[in-house]
Amino acid sequence: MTFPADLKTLLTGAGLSNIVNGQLPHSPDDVIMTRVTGGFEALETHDSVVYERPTAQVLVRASTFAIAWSRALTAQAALRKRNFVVNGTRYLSLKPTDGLVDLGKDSQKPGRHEVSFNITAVMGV
Amino acid sequence: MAKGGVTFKNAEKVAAAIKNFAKRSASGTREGLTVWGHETMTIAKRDFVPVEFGTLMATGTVEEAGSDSAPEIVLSFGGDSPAGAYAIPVHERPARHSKGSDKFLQTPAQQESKKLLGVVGQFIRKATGL
Repeated sequence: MTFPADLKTLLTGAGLSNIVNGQLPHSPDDVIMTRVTGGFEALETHDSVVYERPTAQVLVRASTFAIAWSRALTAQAALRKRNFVVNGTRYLSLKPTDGLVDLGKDSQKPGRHEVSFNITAVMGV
Repeated sequence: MAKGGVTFKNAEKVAAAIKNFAKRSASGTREGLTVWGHETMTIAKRDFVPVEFGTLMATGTVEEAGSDSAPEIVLSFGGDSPAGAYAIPVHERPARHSKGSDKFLQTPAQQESKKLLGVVGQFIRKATGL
């Protein structure tokens, strides 16, 4: 499986729904978008085992700030794990690299609230 | 009865040399971080920051931080300027811009991080004479 699919599995497992990857859809109002934002150089060991270090952004949109913030907190907690396997891929770590950021309302009328945070993974290959 | 032991001579001189080496090494690290930071900021401003009036681009700064023994470098946009209020949303919100893109600091910082150890190592070698 791929990194975005693994994130979706973890978020779904935490009871979250309406999870999309890549782009924010126009609807529904309540949605969680994950998108891979590149990453850092892979780590290599003496026996050529490589650990990929991708990064991703998680953006939570909701009709009210309270819902967006609450779902973002749940997502952030679900994406803080160490030494686990999901969809057959071993992760050494998965952790948020910053706090929740309130991005304010989007350009729709009425505006929908957006809260964002970023994560970094270290995954075995 | 046989006696054993090790005697250190000039221990103070050795300790002073190690201390001096550590100081010069940290100085080289700070210099390397600063050069890397300015290079990365230049790339961010040239290739990544969305530009409409240039307000956001003008707020990009590179600041030395941390302590003498543990230097740090801080790259930022927005700061206390009027652009500070929208720097983070513009950085984090996926959007199309006629020039530039979102993640205008994270993307170049991640890309340039591959060069970080090499640049810092070069300045440490220069500072310590290795």
